[in-house]
Amino acid sequence: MNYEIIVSGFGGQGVLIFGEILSQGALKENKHTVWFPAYGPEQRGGTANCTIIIGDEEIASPISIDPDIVVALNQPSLDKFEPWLKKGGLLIINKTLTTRKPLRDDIKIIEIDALTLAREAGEERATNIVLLGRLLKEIPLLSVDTVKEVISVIFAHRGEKVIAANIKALNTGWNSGD
Amino acid sequence: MGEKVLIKGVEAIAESAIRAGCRMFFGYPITPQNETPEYMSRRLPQVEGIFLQAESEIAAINMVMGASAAGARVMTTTSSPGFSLMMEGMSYLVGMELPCVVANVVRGGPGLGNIAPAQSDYFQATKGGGHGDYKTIVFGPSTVQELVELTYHSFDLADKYRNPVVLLTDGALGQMMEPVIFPEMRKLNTLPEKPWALTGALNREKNIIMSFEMDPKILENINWELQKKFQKISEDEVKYEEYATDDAEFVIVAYGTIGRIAKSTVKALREENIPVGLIRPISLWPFPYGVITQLVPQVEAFMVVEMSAGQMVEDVRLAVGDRRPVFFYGRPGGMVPSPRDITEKVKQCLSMLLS
Repeated sequence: MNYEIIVSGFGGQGVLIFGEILSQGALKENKHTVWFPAYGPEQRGGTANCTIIIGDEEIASPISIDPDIVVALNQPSLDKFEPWLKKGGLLIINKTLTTRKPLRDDIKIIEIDALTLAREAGEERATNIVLLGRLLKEIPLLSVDTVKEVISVIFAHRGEKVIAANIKALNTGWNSGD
Repeated sequence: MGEKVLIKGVEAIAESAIRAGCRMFFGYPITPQNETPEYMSRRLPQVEGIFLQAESEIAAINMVMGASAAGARVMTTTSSPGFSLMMEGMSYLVGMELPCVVANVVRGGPGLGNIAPAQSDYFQATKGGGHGDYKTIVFGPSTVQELVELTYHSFDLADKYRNPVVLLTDGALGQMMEPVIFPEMRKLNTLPEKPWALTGALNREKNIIMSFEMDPKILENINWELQKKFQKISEDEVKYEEYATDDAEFVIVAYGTIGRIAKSTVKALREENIPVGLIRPISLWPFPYGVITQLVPQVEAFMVVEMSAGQMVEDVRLAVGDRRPVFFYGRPGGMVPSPRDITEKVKQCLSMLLS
């Protein structure tokens, strides 16, 4: 099957790179994948989101209107994409930046204090990676080793310290389950 | 064949062009295709090519003309308003029989419009666009891999027919990343010879390249020669994909981004045992009239879906004639229909047919 994932947040929170890590990982595991950003006159602090599709079937439409997974990094994203989720889908919320509980009772909901956890892991900019870690624990879209390899490549130009911080954040997210 | 890489459509155009032997790029910035010139500006110097940012699209297409006349594999990329500015140059390029590849990453129009994906430049691209009786080959790819293959192929076709080739795509395909395999890097010494090019007339007769002829009798003949070439292209270069048409009683016709979205619709309707198929034109000119005409006896109706107010639908109606209804569903202005939107429209059309 194919999983359709929407990742959404403020510009600058790393939602596009979240998606790119998933698609690069899918490529490494020889799965079908597409990464599709909402593009427009984007700016830091505005909203950003991307759709990622991963699976073993050819991908026809790159657009998802009823995703299996939504990762919401802020309140506007929760407001916009919670209604889109497929029944029984997974909603992962960055509780640090949301102001209300989700409304639906027909989906699985995970709320984590991702920004706080990222700070504790030593890199608050890795909030996105904390959420990615938790997502991979809930649904094994890709092996964690693959994702760590991708993180090492994508952040290579930022140096070892950034790679280590992001891998730590991934582990923190993975271990954040109850 | 290399390994699979994840790349954006607009960057894939650039890499594929370089692998096809393109060593010259002239362009002017416009969203949503800026990553193409950005990529070219970085990559072309590595392969001893030339990247130049022109002062306008008009300048860019005229630089393309010069490089092409000198025998280079050359391209430019732009988006709708820039493509309009290039129309005079395109007409001259055809008149002078100069090969080049031009990608139009179409955005919402008319006028400045917006930067969202659209298909509203179909008429402009497929029916000539500039002045005079002319055609350019036009491709409408629907995946990044297909964009790569068609870009590569376009350079060969442009040289083969000494005519511009247009890649008609949009920001959805341009901005998305998909895994692709790039074709091999062409060795420049394996590219076709261009004895007509302006390379310096030492020890040979001089070549003259122009689109000017005062004598109507001669210009008429030149025109008929061009038309013969277009006729030959119409016979030999048609490309399309047929999907689930074998037993289809209702056929969707859609290209590019909508072509792939409509495929999801066909899959969903087939799960409900509704016999729907898809024709996805890949060459928009020459248009695949033949395959649509052949389907008329088995099909009850056609539906054309476009991100425009209805342009390709006219070509489908030409192929179908009065023999079957041709429905249309379009979203202009940069709106992208979802698979569910298309599914609902198909069901509406089917119920209209029953009543």
